[in-house]
Amino acid sequence: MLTIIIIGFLLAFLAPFIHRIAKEYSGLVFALYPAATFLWLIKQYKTVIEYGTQIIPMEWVPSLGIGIDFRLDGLSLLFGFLISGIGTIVLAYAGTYMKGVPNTDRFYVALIAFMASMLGLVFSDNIISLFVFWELTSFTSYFLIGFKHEYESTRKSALQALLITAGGGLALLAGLILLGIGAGSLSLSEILQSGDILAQSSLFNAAMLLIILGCFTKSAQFPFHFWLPSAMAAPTPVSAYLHSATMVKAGIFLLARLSPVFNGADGWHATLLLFGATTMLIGAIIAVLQTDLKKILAYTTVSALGLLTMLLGIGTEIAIKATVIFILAHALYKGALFLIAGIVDHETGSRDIRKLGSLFRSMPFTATAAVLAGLSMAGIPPLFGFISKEYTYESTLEMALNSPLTTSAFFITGVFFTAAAGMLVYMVFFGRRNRLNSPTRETPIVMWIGPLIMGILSLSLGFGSGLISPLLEQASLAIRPENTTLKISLWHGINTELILSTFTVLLGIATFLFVYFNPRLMSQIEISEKIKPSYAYDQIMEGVVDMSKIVTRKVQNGYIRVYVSVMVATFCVLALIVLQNFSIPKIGVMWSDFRVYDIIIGAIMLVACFYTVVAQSRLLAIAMLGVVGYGVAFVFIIFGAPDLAMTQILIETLTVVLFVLVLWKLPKYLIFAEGFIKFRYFLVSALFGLIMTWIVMIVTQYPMDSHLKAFFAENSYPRGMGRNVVNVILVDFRSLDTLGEMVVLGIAAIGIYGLMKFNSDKKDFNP
Amino acid sequence: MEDVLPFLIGGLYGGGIYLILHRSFVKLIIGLIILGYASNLMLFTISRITRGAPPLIPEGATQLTEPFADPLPQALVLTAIVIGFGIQAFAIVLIKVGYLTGDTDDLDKLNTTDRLD
Repeated sequence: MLTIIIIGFLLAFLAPFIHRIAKEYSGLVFALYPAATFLWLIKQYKTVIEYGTQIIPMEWVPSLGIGIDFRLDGLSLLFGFLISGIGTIVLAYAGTYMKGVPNTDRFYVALIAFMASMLGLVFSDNIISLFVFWELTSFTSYFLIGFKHEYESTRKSALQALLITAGGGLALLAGLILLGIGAGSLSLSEILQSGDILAQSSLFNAAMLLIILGCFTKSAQFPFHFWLPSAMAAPTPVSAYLHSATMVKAGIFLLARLSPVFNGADGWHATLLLFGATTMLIGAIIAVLQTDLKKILAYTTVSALGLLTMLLGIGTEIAIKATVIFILAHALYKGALFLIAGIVDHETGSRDIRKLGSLFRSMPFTATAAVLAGLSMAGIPPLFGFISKEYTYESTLEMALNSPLTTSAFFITGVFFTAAAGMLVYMVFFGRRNRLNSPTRETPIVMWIGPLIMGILSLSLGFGSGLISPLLEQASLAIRPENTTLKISLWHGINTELILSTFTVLLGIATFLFVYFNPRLMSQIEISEKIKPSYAYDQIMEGVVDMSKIVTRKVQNGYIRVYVSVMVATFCVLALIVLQNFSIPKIGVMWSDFRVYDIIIGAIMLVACFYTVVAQSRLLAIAMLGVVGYGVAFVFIIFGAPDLAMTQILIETLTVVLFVLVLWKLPKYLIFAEGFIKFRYFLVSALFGLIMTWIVMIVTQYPMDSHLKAFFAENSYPRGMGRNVVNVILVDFRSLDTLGEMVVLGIAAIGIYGLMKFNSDKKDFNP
Repeated sequence: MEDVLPFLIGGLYGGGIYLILHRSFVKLIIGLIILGYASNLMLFTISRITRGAPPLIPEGATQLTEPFADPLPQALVLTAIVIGFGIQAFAIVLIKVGYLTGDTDDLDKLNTTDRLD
């Protein structure tokens, strides 16, 4: 398993090179990867049917309990088949679809990397590796949505999708970690079996809510659904693959995966049911108001994801069966319809259902595929979509609570689904005359073969549902271990479900005809911008940007005195908090050690420092600065540091000379601060000075024991062969530090030279 | 002198900060230099001072005998002085160039290049 995923990422890495060689056939070449994966999964599938769930362990960070373990069971295989199967079709299709588009190699890199990440996500048996793959899918999706990055709207859509899914990803990470702590393990298998230990953990509810939040953002549940229609800015193969069949179902997948843990918890059913049903209704209603093919598909996808969430929320045996059936049915018809929308767009240059019409004659194969997929979407027997609808009705009817409400919500959705299917298929391929002037023709076989296969599968699985039953049974077992056998059949006899289903279809056709004959009326319905969640998103984004601008302006205002004041004030406050534990030290003058010249030197330095500060002329300030500097050198001499004193005197002299040389040309000393401001400066600096005095006094009160002093005293002559210990330290014991110091000086010298040169270029300034 | 040094250090720190708070570039650099003195003296003082006993090994001996000044802080301060000089020299030339290009010594007029719209 790991090999397959690694091959995927390697292939993504090599994609640009392969693309350069294979040119327009590269799509077909790349399609070999998912195709091979599909075949491998068939082999694994037989093992799973025979021996049950397979775990492939693989250590990663064993000390933290993190592994790249893989889990092969019904649920992951169902998703694995969808990812690799639809992946094969999409890659083959993309080869032709993307012909002539610049930067196609980047597209393949992101798409193949996505494929590998998605496989990793569904097969992970460790919640940390699952999360890593989860984020990788968000990440690659960002690049795929933003593929046409020249358009601002595309960039905005990509960013929106990334912020929402990655934001939810953060919630998910927190939730998964809490789940891991609660269960005492990061391994999915162990979490699934932890049962009561986890259910009684205090972290249980928090973990559940955070995970639900993460899944809702990924699977575009209300109120986060709006990123999915915006994500239609991506090239159509991407929409077909990521935004209908695979990535958006990752949230559903994780909810299903963790169902055994949360099923039965109070908040779980209510939250999923409520949000799922709301998303389902909103998506279905908005879908029929659209005129863009891809937008209709996007909103019906949102609706379908809501339906899946709702079914997981119902959580009964029949509802879980309905979930797995619908996942497969939806992937087949929606993927096909997306690809067909891409073909139509590619051949006619339009996706507007008001302009398109009667394409059947020029595109018979595409139209056949569209009809099959559309019938499945509308839930008309004998297609697979019909079976899925029957099961959904059965599960809503069997609910103990809120059955009528949920059933009618699904009824309305079903009506709109049928109507939307009619809009997608009838209006485009039959209906009125084509209003486009350009002639249309059938696409190459690689493009229409994929949708046609999916359409035929929808049809044949309706009849031969026994073929797929074992897989779906395994999948439903993984979601709900107590599920009994699943035997899908087309005909259940005349019962409530069938009657409801018939009415759904009839009313759906009626709705479609209404939309078809009143196009003007439909276009007049507008939804106010302000009630859309996307409006809230825009407001929040603007707010964040404005806020950070304000904060930056306040904090990074460019006034050095504000920075310094803030730093000094912060230091003073922190120092005072620490210093309040120490008493104010006594100033005990040791008369035995009293020397008059100490006092005199100290006094001269303080006076010189005072004059430096208040001087009205620059020259006086520099002269007084010199006095302070030489005073420092005196202090060094008194306390046994002749080397320091020498250095200080040398450098002081150099500084003063440099100052005078450079600054004598400058104009009069500028005095800006007046009265009160000066007083404020004075307060800040006086406080700082006092605190420093205090600190020095406190520190020197305590005895000091430095073994380094003894070390250098003993070793500098025997080891360093020098009598001046300070010099030995500098050039011997700590010679690397000295080297670093020389480097700093060298850099400063280069900088000074550069500044001088820069200047002389401009104004003929010669120092 | 041990009693005088804390006050001297405090006074230098206060003076340095006071100068930095002003708007003039020249004052900023003078303030930085004074701050440098204060820091060097502080480092020197808080690692304890010994009067009149430089850490020099006399002829004939192979190691120092007490009392002697701690050589390590001296080595550190020496490095600090030299590096401080590098910064000062660079800053002084920067004022010159800044003044010639921007025609001002006022720091508030030099903060416009990377400001937000």
